[in-house]
Amino acid sequence: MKVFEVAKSGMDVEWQRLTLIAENLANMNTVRTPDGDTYRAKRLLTGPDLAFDQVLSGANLNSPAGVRVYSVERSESAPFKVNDPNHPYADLEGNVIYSNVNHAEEMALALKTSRVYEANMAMFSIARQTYASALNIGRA
Amino acid sequence: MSDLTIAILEKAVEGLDMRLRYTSQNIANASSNSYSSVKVSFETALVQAAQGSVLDVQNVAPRLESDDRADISSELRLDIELAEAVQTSMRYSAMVEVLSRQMSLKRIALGRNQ
Repeated sequence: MKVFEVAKSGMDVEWQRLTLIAENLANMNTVRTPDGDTYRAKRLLTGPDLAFDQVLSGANLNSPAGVRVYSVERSESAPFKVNDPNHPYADLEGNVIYSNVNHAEEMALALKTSRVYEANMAMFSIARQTYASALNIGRA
Repeated sequence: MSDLTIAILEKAVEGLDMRLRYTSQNIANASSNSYSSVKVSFETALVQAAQGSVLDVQNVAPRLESDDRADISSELRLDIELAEAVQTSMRYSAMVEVLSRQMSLKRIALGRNQ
């Protein structure tokens, strides 16, 4: 049953990543957030549930593993500066600072995320099939 | 095969059936506001009770817990619930399979295996 748990954790994490990418894309044209800052692309930091030395020591072979969310961090790439003196949020030099969401980067990440999600789903199906055939052991 | 085995199997089937029911309730409430997903747990209690008597096993009551899965958006996840349903139904089949094999053993003992 552990394969199910691990595959489920993968589906869980990749879905949350997809949610953040959708939020980034939705905010691509955001100039200011409600608290007055510029919007920064959000990134999900994820990793194994157990540290490697914990797993390799063999002490945790039966504990639930898989992947989990560590935290949400903001991307530190430079925001886009556009010269548009008539914009309500233009600064003294007439520049408007848009979010640092990069369209191509987000799309590539979304595609990769959805592939990983599919892979986890495939893993889940394989586990299900294996389990179903194991139920037939000893049957004529 | 002892009565204890049958009792454990029955309890497990009961717990898994309950988990399946609550999973479908979770899915039915996917769009409900401020609904938090309900999980059924009985495994740990059953493992402990299995060390004791048939009565201990029969007294195990499945517990309801609200889901503490960390989700950044705290939405109800249909895929996770469906995965849970598949997992539960696989285990249910396994339990029923073992029960039915226990029964056929009994049938053999009674000499009615024609």
